[in-house]
Amino acid sequence: MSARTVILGLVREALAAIRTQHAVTAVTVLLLAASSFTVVTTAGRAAASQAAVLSTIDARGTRTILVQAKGAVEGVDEQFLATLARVADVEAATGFGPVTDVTAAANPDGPRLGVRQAYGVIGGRLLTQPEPGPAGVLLWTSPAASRVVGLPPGAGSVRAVDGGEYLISRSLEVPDYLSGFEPLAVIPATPREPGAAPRPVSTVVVLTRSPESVGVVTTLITRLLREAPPDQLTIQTSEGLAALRKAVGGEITRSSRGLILGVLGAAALTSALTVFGYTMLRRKDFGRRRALGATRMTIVLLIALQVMLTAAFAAALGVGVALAYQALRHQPVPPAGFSAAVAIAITALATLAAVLPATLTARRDPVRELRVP
Amino acid sequence: MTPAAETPLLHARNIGFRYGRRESDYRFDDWTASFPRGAVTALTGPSGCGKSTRLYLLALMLRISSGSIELDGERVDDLPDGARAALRANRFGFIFQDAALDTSRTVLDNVVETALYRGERKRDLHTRARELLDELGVAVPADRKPGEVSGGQAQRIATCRALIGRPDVIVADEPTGNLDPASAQVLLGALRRHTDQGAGVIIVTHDPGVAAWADHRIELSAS
Ligand SMILES: Nc1ncnc2c1ncn2[C@@H]1O[C@H](COP(=O)(O)OP(=O)(O)OP(=O)(O)O)[C@@H](O)[C@H]1O
Ligand SMILES: [Mg+2]
Repeated sequence: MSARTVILGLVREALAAIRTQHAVTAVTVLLLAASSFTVVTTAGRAAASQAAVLSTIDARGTRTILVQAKGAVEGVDEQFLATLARVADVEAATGFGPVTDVTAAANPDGPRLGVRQAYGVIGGRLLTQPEPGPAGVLLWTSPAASRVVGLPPGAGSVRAVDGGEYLISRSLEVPDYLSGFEPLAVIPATPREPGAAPRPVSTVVVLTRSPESVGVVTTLITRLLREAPPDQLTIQTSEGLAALRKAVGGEITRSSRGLILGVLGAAALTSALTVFGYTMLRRKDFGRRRALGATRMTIVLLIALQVMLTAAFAAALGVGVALAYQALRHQPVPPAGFSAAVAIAITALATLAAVLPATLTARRDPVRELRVP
Repeated sequence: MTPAAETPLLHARNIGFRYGRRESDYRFDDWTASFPRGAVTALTGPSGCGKSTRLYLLALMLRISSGSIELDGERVDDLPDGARAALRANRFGFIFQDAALDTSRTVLDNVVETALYRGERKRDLHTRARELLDELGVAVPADRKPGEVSGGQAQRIATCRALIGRPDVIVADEPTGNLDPASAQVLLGALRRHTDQGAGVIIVTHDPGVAAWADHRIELSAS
């Protein structure tokens, strides 16, 4: 005899019990499907809206640090950007120089657009001018910026109010954390001349890899700029937003945790009672099995498997119906991980809860059970 | 005869047992009995004298409080519960006083039930199960449920279940109690064929004819 044969035999026997014991199967399925449904439609909704709120907060930039200098401030320059770019917790650092107003070259009296000298990286792209060629200085504009001066995205030329002319060479996709700078038009910096002093920037936007690292990176920036006169410098962080994010996460999790625990606890208790009632009704059946040679372990496994398979079906059913119901009512659908966790928790708890009554059954005297007519 | 052949199949040596602690509870002490291979031993006596109790003790379903029980010369009464269950599954066949069938499963499922406890595949026993049902004259479809058969048929289905694992010992508690004489003959014939293959059968009976038919008789007196 192989372990495989024994396990397959037990699973078949449990499935046969599920098929023939209609009453206990129906009660268990109803009970556990209803529990799963309740958790997904209540706590699941909370989890879904929590996920939505958090992603909104993240989009607003819980990971950004803004450094602004009044005029040229010692240390706030392209060298500072290069240093930041090498920090592991920093995903991107962008520096902006002073703003110059431009108009469409063909329409000098038309609407004005502010363009900025830019250093570092935007959206994963290094901001740098090609070697100056006959084309002149190139400009990258976002679609919104092109619209301001009435040009098609990524094309055309503009002229500065003070006379310089720029060719728009690229349509810029503005990342979320820079949306505050829209309409955004940048003049990528020319490569630094060897030996030349680093050019100053007036605004630096730093994007950290996670909301948690905002604090560390801010400390680092403060240290790098400790020589700068404090009245000429402001450092703004999204730590406020990060705190809000944490609060939102914790709050919703705490309120739904109580609910989830309540429902799961009730499901486990009623499942244990159902199994107890079932084994009491079928005590002669289990007594016969013991008398015929089933070990106590076999009895416990049979009952636990029967409950586990029923519970898995019920949980999948309850979660599936709940998700469909939420989608139909255009309610937020919880993340897949949450639904899977609910189904697994319900199944595991119901199975665990069955072990106590199953053990009691396995320990009953088979002869006494057989004598009961 | 070789010494091994002289070793009884099952031997109860000075066994004692009591159901509870009260003075009025059924009890006995110092009972010795021997059950040989290849033979039918009948256990007789008035109602309530402890025949079924002794069968359950010999078949390792109850624990004796003194003495010892040996199977093939090896002590088995002091084994842990799991080992006793394994012996019940592999070495014993049971026919209970009432048939004790699983009413939720088919006749065929009932006959092959013990395969699960021996770690065998039930499917492998289906052919033999049908042959046994034929042999015992259970003329009902094998997918019928026990609730849909007569008492005598149920007792014969239980006999098929006892025989299917070719056990060394069959303990039978009034197996012919519900049967007409012709069916009783068929059932006893099947048990006899089983002892012919070397097994031992212990049969509790109130029927003097069955007791006379057995090879050995042990008469218990009223307690
Ligand atoms: N669990 C128990 N607790 C206490 N006494 C019991 C228990 N089970 C059986 N008895 C008693 O033990 C005695 C022997 O019972 P047993 O069933 O062995 O008798 P029996 O000889 O098989 O009788 P019958 O011929 O009627 O089947 C009876 O007096 C019975 O009432
Ligand atoms: Mg009896």
